[in-house]
Amino acid sequence: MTETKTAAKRFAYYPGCSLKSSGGEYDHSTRAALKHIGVELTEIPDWVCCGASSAHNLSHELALALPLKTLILAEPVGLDVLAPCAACYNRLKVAETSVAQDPDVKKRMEEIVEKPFGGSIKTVNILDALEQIGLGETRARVVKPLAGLKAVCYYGCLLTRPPKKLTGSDPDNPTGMDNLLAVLGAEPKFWSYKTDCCGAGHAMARSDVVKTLVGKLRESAEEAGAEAIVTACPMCHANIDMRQETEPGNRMPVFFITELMGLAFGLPQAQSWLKKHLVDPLPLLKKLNLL
Amino acid sequence: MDYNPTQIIRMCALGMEDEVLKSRTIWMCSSCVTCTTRCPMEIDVAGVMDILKEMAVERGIECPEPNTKRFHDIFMGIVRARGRMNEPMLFGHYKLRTKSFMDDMEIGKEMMKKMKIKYSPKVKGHKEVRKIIDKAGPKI
Repeated sequence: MTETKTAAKRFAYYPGCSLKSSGGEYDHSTRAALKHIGVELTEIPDWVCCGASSAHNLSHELALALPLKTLILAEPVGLDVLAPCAACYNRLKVAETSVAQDPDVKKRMEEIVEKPFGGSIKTVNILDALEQIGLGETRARVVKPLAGLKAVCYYGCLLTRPPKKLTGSDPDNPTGMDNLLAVLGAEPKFWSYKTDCCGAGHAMARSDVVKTLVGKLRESAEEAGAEAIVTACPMCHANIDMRQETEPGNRMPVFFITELMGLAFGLPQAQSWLKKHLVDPLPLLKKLNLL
Repeated sequence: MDYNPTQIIRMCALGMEDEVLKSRTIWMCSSCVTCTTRCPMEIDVAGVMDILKEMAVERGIECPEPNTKRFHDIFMGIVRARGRMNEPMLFGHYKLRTKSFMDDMEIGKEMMKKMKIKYSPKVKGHKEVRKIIDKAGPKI
């Protein structure tokens, strides 16, 4: 397989509100990792909130209209939209497919947003994007394989559900992140909690729920023989990073998949992302000689 | 959760509006959408939970999970004013409104120390976002 073909791939980039704030490491690592494999990202000018959890909790019409607004803003540039945040991806993708599948929904949404949507662009998540480009492009740039890193891939809820509105990953046993992790030289461990909820938006108002669910995830990860959890969602990352209830020295580090790409690519700025985590991943990486 | 999701759906089918709209269940739903994905009768259970919340609010029913409701209201209020979320404002307003300053102190301190929380700008098109929210609901 020729791995040296330059993947001149371009995407419109939708960071979303979390990546511009507490999920900053995900933004920086995604930009750096994709640049390294020759992908050009153009941030959508003036993008707006995707609606996150609160829109669909309060108004089913707003839940579609708000993300559609951003798709309409992005359409003139003519590039597919990459949304690394699983929630943003889900809101944009559900809006995109809902209006494509139902002309009445399309009409009503265009009425609310007061602009038409041509349906000519698609939304992708980080795993889709990397697969589209071809994992060979990633493999070719691995200079420090993450040998010995036993980790479970945590997809969470929004990358794969509801399957009828998204891009086709198996909602019970997705493998995109596992494949990518293997390409980076690490050891993805199989577990049965790949898509079990972390408690999501309950983080602030019902953190007790998040603590319980995160506790289950961490236990299961350990049972599966993992020393780390890998994710592609800033909400999941925050919940796992901040809500484990074991003693501070005994918490499982959680990585964004793109941070691991940066490490495997030997990018010098990778450590700066990891320093933002509340559960310090450096001891584990030092132990495995991966720094 | 006072009723499980199966019960909620059955109660809807039986027309038990009062019990369903006053339930804690609908607000405890995290919208993980596993139910919708698995339902052999192809009911969008997660979607039903959302609509029930909307109906409960419309009818002025007091939310049995008040902090959850406050969170969503504050979130949408900020988006309506600015076009995007602003985390310092979200955390500040939420802590004030729910009088929960002492909760999550340790986490808050760590996040500040690591400078994780950024002040996001108002979007140029924030007035358009306001119009969208005012048209599609909820009433803020």
